[in-house]
Amino acid sequence: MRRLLATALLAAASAAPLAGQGALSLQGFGYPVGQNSTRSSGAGGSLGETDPGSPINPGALPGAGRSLFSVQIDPEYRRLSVDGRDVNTTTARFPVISVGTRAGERGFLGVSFASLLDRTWDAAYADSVTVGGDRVASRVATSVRGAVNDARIAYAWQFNERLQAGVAFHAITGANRMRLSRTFTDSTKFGSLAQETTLSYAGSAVSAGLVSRPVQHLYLAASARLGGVMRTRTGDSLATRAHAPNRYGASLTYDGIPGSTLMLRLNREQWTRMRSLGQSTLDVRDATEISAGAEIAGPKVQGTPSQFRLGARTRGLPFGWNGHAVKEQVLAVGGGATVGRGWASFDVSLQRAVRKAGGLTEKGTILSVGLTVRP
Amino acid sequence: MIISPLRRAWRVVLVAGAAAFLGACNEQLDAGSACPSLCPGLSVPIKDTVLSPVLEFDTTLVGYPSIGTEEGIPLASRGDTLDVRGVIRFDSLVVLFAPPGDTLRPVSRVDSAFVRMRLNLTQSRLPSSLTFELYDVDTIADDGNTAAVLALFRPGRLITSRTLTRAEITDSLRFPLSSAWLLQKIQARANVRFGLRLIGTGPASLRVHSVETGLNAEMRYHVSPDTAVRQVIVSPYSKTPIEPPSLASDFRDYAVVARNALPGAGAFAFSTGGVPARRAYLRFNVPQWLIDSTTIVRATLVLTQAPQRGFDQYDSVTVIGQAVAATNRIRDLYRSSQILIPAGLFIADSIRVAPADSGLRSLEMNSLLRVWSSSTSAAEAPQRAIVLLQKEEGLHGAEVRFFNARSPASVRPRLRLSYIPRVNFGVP
Repeated sequence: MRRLLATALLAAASAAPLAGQGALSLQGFGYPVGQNSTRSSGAGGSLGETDPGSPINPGALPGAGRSLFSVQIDPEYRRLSVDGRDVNTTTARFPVISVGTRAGERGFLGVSFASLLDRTWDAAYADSVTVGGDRVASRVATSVRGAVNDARIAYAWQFNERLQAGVAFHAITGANRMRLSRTFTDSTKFGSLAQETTLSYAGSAVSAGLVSRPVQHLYLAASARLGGVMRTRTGDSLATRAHAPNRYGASLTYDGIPGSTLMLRLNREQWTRMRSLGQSTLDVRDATEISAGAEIAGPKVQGTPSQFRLGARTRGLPFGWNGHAVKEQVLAVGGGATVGRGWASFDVSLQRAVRKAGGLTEKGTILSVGLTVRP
Repeated sequence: MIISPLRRAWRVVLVAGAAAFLGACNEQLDAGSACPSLCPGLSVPIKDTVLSPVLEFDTTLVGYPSIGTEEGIPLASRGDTLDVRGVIRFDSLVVLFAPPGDTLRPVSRVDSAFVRMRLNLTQSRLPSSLTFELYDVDTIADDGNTAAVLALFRPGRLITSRTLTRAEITDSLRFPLSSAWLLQKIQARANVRFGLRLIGTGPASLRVHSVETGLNAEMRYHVSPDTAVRQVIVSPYSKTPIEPPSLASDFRDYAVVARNALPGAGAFAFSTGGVPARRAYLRFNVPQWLIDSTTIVRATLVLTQAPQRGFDQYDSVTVIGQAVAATNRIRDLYRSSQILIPAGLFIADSIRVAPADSGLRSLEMNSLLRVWSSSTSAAEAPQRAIVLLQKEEGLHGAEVRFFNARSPASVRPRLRLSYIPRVNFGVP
């Protein structure tokens, strides 16, 4: 009991607010969360193409079985080193919610909501500006809330035990509500600035994918998403127009070793199609992601099976900083257990991410806790 | 109960997860220390511009505060240049009294009568010797006819006078009154209206407290030798004008300018202060796009002071700006210049100068421009105007002048603005 209490206190303390600040991962339109379920996150994202709970490959949906409802929370604890100073932030994300059900004997219909680009941060700092020839002390406070989301409706068909495929329509939606204020120390001479802007996103995409077993113990999965027109609006006015990013991915899965599954995944996201959504100075880059991982059967706990997962991932982030590309390396571990006589599963993963650009290093620890129910 | 190590481990994981859930609800998003370098989109440009000409119209209006509303009566005697006198009315005298245990009866005797005034010697100018003269200025002439009042400051109307050295002048001044003169006024049920004049061996000026300052003059007298009958104390009161009644209270005590030889401000300047006091009315013409489509961070009215040579030219005075609250429906500028937003609201700045000074003066008025921007209906909106006036208006002879909109471009009023255009803040 004492150990439980200590664990609880330690975990809660780790999430306590710290003096916090800006991030390499939050440049541009935000951080690409990856659309991985907790299960896939534990394997470094390498399960993304085959995991029905990750809304990446619509062809993977039949793997959910009879039905699917999954939800997760991903708090991230970030630490950025700037000018010899450590800056800590904490943010909580609900990156994926999936619902699905078998439609007929071979069909499967799924709906999911996932964060494509999360953009939530605050910044407050002292600054001085020249106003009418005088250097004036002021305080800037800004906040951005929101994300670009991917709402997907997908249908998959299981042709036989060796092949299943699916198609999906994506509505790219969401908004960023942004506030900026600048207040001056001398409020009698200088008026404060307070601006609030809501930048909303609207776009679409279609995707298709398959999961096949060409030979015994080897699974090949591949999917592609083709982005349609994407627009931003500020208030009622059309602000910018571009395209939703295309995505291509493939993975190989080998389950020839009893009790173990090995995965290798390659993913390419064409973020540059979003370029004209931002200002001309927006530093946006296409990103390639390579991930590898393993899922190993763990011991049975009171007769219920468990799994351990581990994985690694390397990728570029879409938005550069100060002319530098931001690179991210992730090491992940995770686990899961089926509970309720197979009606639900509980997954946990822990990712350690290191992001680097232009001499700056940001370290993030992402804890993901997911619950999947199969009624 | 025996719990297996694995099951215990799962419990630990479950509790840790639950705690992490709770902890994650407490987000810490502040990203200030790494800014602005890591907070793109925050650099909002502040642009500067100078509007010149910026005044649609300016003029000098004379006669403030309106009669009787002065915070004191400024008495001045500056030889041939400035002569300001005061009038105090006691239009309601006690004409009946009741001895103890007896019936009401008319006043038939008066003794120990005097009038007492309180002096405000702040910013006063006192020569070595000063004479205060008290005149009977009761007249049936119209109340606004100051010339008729001034005509009564003549030897035949002199009631009494007191000559004091500078050292003898304190904050209280007492004039003994003739009992016979006062009794005659009481029995005739006439008004007692004192005219007060200052004559010094040199330039002299001081203020007499008025009803508005709460230390008004008093007239006292006894109507009976019986000590049980209390002394009569009379405060300033005016029976006229009858309509409107509120105006009569303004005539309880007021200042009358007998002479002000200071030349006018001329065609190229507007003026503030002096006696009677002047106000400068300035109506602005600020481009609508600046008001509607930007955030104005700073607005500075830059004026060029025109040196003024005359009395009190080296006395420092404070010029303040007050926003006009009158709407555009009011066309009368004199009235518009009285319907003002209280001092300190929207224009917290002031200008401290002496009349003889020259050079650039500035008045911060950023908050006011924000008020103008929030005004929608043109008819109901307040005039985009301000009034420049002296803080101690009507109490000081110093007059401060500034070059006006008809002056050469180098000295005419201009508005220096710092603003932030509507920007696509937050679009990366």
